[in-house]
Amino acid sequence: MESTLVATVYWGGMLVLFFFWAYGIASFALDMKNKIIPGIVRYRRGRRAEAAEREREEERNEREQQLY
Amino acid sequence: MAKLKLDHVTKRYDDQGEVVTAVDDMNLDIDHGEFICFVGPSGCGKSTTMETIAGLTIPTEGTIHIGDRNVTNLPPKDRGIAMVFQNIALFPHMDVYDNISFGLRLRDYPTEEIDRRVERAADIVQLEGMLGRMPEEMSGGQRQRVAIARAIVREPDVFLMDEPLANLDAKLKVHMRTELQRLHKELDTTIIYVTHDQEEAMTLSDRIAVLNSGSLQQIDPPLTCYNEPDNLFVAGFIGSPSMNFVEGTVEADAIETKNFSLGFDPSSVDGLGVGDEVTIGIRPEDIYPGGLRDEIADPSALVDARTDILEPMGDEIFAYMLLGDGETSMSQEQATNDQLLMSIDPDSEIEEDEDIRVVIDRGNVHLFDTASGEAITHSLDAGWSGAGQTETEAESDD
Repeated sequence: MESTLVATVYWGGMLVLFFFWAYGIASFALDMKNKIIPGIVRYRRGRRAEAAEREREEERNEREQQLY
Repeated sequence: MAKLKLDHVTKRYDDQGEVVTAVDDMNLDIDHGEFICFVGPSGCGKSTTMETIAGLTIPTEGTIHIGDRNVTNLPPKDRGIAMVFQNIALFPHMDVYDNISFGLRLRDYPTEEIDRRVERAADIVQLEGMLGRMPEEMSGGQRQRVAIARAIVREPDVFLMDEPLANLDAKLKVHMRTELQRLHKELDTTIIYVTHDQEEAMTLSDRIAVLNSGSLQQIDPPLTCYNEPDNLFVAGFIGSPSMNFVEGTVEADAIETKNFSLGFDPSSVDGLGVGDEVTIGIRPEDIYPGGLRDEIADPSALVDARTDILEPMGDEIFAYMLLGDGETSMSQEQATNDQLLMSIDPDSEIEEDEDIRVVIDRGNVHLFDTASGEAITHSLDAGWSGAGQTETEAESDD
């Protein structure tokens, strides 16, 4: 009776721990896929777009100044 | 003598995978010394057209010639053009002299020549004695004059002005308008002026180029655009308040609209036949109270109306009138057929919600093809003897 209880608690505890361990890994993998990597891509794309916009703006200003 | 020629100029943009045509097959011939206004609603392509002339944008198709030179792919500095921008764009850390002489210093002109040109330009735009001031110490109008002086010192073949008065208050705008006219007379150079304000265009220009959706609708002297618009768009855009439009059908001896008929002989106009759908265009000043019928050379029959809103403007009153079943609140489509705007003397005795009878000066009625919007005629009196007057007209004559 006592050994059955110990085993139940042991396996129950292991199950809970393993569940959260697996949950953590799966959650991290999904976060990487859906949030972190797209975020990095967006950030880099935004930086590139900003740089291109800045360059266009400078070029435009330079052309406008030729008309002053 | 710098003529400007735009030959089949088209500008397309790629807007997130979708091709947008900002300027569509534009052809323009501008003579030396002309003052041309590009006018049209927002997004009609007037600024883009100007930017292609300035060299700020390269056209997708077509060529631009200034004088005998093809400048289509030249940078702005090599085009012999100076431009005044809407945002004035003075350097805040430079005084007026440095701002005006910026372009000349950039091109390494000798100091004596720079001094001579700056003084002359300051004299033209009446900025003498202000050359040492900083832009922040000047009013909006003075700053705009500095920007114009900066363009003058370049002694360009063509001046481009992109809504230079848009940021000024109404009084200053009127003052600067006369300054620009004086400047044009003094410099005798080609000026191309972009504005969405048709009043500015009417008062300033030798010819107005009316644009819509990237296409040139009409280029003619201001009064020609006003009196003989080529199509419905020009008729509606030029003139403030706008022309009244009423849809109708051509009958044997009249044009029948929902609420009134106008005597007209369709055989007097080539290509027009009974049953054709037309749109009648009437300027507010060509509608008169019925009592003045005998003073008009070619009056229409009396039209029953009810005054809705009166707008006293000081020198005239704008009277919005409802026709037939017209209601106070109506859709744009209803307003086209059930509402007329009349401009009358300020001392006219007229009240809101009053039943009145009005006449239309047939000699100034415009006729447009409803489907294409193209103008058919600008007067209904051609060939009309009154022999075929409609019943309504005959009744009203009694």
